[in-house]
Amino acid sequence: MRTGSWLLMVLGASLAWAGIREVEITLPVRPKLLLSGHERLYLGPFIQESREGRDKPQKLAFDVAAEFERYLRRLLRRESKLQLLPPLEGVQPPARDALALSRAADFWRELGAKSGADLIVAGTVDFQVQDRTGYKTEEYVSPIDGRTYYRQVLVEQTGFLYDIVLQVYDGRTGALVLEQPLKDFQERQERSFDEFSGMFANLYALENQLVGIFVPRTVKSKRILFTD
Amino acid sequence: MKRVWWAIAAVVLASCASSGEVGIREQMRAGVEAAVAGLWQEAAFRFERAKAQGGETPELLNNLAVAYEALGRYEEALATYKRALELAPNNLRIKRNYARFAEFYASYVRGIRPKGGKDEDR
Repeated sequence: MRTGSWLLMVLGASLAWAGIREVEITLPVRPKLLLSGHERLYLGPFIQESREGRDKPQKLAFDVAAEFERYLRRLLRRESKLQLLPPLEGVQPPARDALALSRAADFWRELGAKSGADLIVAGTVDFQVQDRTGYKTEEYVSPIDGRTYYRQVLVEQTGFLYDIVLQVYDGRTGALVLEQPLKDFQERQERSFDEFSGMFANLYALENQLVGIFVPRTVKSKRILFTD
Repeated sequence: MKRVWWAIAAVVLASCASSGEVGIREQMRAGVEAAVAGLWQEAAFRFERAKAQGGETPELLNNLAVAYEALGRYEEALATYKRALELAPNNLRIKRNYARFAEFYASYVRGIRPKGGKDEDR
């Protein structure tokens, strides 16, 4: 009786599965900003901001804000048809944090007029290199007596935290159009891992999100079709 | 004699009904095959014909909604999914398709247009 009921269940399940097909469809994803795609964009200024209770940004061998600006320019040039305007000399940011930047409408309006930009992309960048090397407790089964022990193991790791607040301003009015926080954390199994490589690992991970603000993308999604 | 005529009429009616049913099934299967091959225009056409032949089943409507999605006809996909779920509110597969579509559609219709960004104002 038990075998019979199992057989019936298996038969029922296979019949239920027989009447369907799974297909993949491609769907468009709109960018966060609805643009025509040919707007004039001015990039910068980006500020290196320190967060999480630190007074000063971490000292690094390179200028994080400048590297980010250069990377974003290259990315948008590759992925979009937006007209990227050349940087102006001597542009000084009006504030040192994202909130104060968003309130400086006059500054953005002036910058928009000077550069002839439809939109200005600016914001704050925080990049931290964290030495996460330390002792961690690990389970260990002894090959001699087969018992489980716990031991302390030195794990060498470097963490890279990228925290960006990307702001888009209207070049004509100076108003904040969009504010997008972007955050990524990468871990490398090595002590004192090269910070420059770490930063780019973060940026590559954020690439899709960054592009998605300006350019339409597509995603694949699965659907079920009934055959009967 | 009258009885014979009634019998013939019954046979003709029965065969018509049966051929209609077969037609719907064939359209449905052809639609699925086209969809699997990525020919969504053809798939939508087949599903629409099956629907026109009177096959407004939840399964067919689900397939049609998926075809509309693939073709970017999102308003029609939304309405068709809703109709399918009206007919079969407990069908988990249709529900799952609809949930995925709704998630996509919600993000699709959302978007930020730059304030004061009209070209004529510039």
